[in-house]
Amino acid sequence: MRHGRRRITWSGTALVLGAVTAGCALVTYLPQDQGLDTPVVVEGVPGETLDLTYAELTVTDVRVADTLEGTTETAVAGGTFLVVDVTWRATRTQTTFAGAEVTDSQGRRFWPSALGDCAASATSQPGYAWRATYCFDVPEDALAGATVRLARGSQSEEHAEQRRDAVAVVDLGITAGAARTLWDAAETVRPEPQGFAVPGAGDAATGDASTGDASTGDAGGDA
Amino acid sequence: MKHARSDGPDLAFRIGRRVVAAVADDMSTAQRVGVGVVGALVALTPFGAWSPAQAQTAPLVTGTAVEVGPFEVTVEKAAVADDLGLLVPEPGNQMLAVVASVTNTGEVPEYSVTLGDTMPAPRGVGIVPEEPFGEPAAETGGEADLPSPTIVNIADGTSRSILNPGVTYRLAFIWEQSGDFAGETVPLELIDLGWVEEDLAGLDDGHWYVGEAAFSGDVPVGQAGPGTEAGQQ
Amino acid sequence: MTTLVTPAVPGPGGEQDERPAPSLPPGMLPGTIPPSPPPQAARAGWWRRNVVWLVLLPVAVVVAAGASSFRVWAFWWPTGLHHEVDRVTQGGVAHYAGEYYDLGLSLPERANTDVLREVDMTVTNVEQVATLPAPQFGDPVEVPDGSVAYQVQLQLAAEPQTDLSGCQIVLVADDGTRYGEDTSDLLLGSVYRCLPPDAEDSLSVQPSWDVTSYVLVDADATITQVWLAFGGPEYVRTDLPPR
Repeated sequence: MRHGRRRITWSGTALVLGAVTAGCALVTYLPQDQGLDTPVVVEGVPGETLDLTYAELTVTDVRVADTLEGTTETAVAGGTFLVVDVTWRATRTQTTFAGAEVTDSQGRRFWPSALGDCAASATSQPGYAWRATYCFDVPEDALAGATVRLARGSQSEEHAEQRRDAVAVVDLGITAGAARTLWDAAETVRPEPQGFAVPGAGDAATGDASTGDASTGDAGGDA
Repeated sequence: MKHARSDGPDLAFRIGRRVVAAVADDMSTAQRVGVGVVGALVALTPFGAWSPAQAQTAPLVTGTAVEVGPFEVTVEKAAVADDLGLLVPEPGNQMLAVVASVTNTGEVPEYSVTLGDTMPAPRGVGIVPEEPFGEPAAETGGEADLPSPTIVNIADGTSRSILNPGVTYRLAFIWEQSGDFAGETVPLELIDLGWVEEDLAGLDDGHWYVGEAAFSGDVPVGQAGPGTEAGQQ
Repeated sequence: MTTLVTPAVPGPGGEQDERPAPSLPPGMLPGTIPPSPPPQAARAGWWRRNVVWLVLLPVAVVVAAGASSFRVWAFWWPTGLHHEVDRVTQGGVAHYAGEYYDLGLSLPERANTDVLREVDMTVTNVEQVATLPAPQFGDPVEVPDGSVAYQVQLQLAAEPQTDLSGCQIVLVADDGTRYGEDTSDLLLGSVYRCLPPDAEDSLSVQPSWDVTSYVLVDADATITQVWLAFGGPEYVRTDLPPR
């Protein structure tokens, strides 16, 4: 053991403080989370089949409704219900699709309501296309330019479950003029409960062609 | 080469003492006091030492919109009814509903549970207390916890678990109440919510915490007419 | 090089002491190592002096990585099919054995115990069918476009009173896609996929019995294996002959 007195010297203090400051600056200013956390966003439009690796997704129809009539309950919109019909086709294993969120042009976010047979999440397996209808209660000024974000990871906790995972963002294609018309229309929609997607049985003209595409796509294509 | 063998159980203590001594030995008394004060201030930060002292509650007036956390709430009235749709009280009791228009003024959806936190059950008007699991309420002694309101959307009788931004709902906040109550007003408080962006103590970033009462006032009670509250079930 | 570490023996009192430390001869810079006492041997190099810590460093890295990987066994391993217990070719008997925690839902005397579940599986037939039989309730499910339906026939054997709830009959394609993992039969509406259709609860009655299950599969998929599982992580596998 060495005996003797060491001094706290200016140079030693400056060295330590400088190192701590430099470390703090690195942690604070380097964009360390970017690239590690960001989801893989697959963009598309209604009718297009999107490959999310774990599933193929098609937004088959976009509607609005003031009233949703389900088998057990009827729901009246506070704003208007943005009704988004989709088909999911899992490609690897049984998958729960927990993420469904609408984002408007101002960046506000809206979550679906599981009212009147509308889905808040869907579970399906490979081997078939599964139909689900999401209903979002949104204000009038959210319609124009709205996009829907669908994924297997839930959107709660700032999209924590979607980190580094594929996420579909579909532009619903609502123009400002169309938004006015959609808002004024007093539609009653009877959302179909989730089920096997049978082409031709849907109510959307756009849905038929795109669902057909899904079955000829590269389902299970990681062979 | 001599080895400073650190074989005692007091190794951690010796290291800690060395680190403290290394810094403190060369300080003047004034410096030590300064360091102590700074350390104490830093240590108090997670416990809300810098939160502003709570002001007095503002008056709650029916028909006037007030802001609590992410919600704009306009309390309209209170009403009592024998039953409200699926909500049926025990015999001899009645349902008390406070009717309010609520808008989520934020950018993201909020849970209606968060909204329920802003409106605690009115005290002293015979609200049936929460029954703790396993034991009757009478045995708990003291003031029993009053339940959170059941929130129902008046337009269709549904309960909405989330409230999307920018959408206004006319909601009924409902409690079961003793049938003995015959007052003309109920005392109502609205609790402010504070946003915790970064939670240093609980590692639960980004949530609303329940603050202090921000608004209070007496809300007149009417008799619920047929079909007004959740009556469409 | 200066350092902030002071010796264990404190310096002379707490008063301001402007003199150099006692062991420091005049003229020495603070922080340098005094020349006395004279070294008995050549000073060991930095690597020699720190050899213990250098050896411990990789160990510490391994321990830290292990400690932070608890999610692998806590979350990933139990929820999925990860442990192949047995593997046979078609015609052989695959022996499933896996422990589960019984909540006593079917047999109260098993409540809150770990139970070893053993089931023998023989795949008797796997073939494509054009239509699906009528379900227990409701209308028959049409085979959707882009899908084909497979009929899977198994012979199962287990001690009577074996709990078969949560049973999965999985068809695995050559690309690893797993079809039919659901624990209930979407197509026929039966809750117990591994028991005869007239089963009243999740417990087996006979020592040996046949089950038929239907699975929807992508039209272009090549099915190569049949798995039997109960939620995982254990499963047994039967390889189908190439066709």
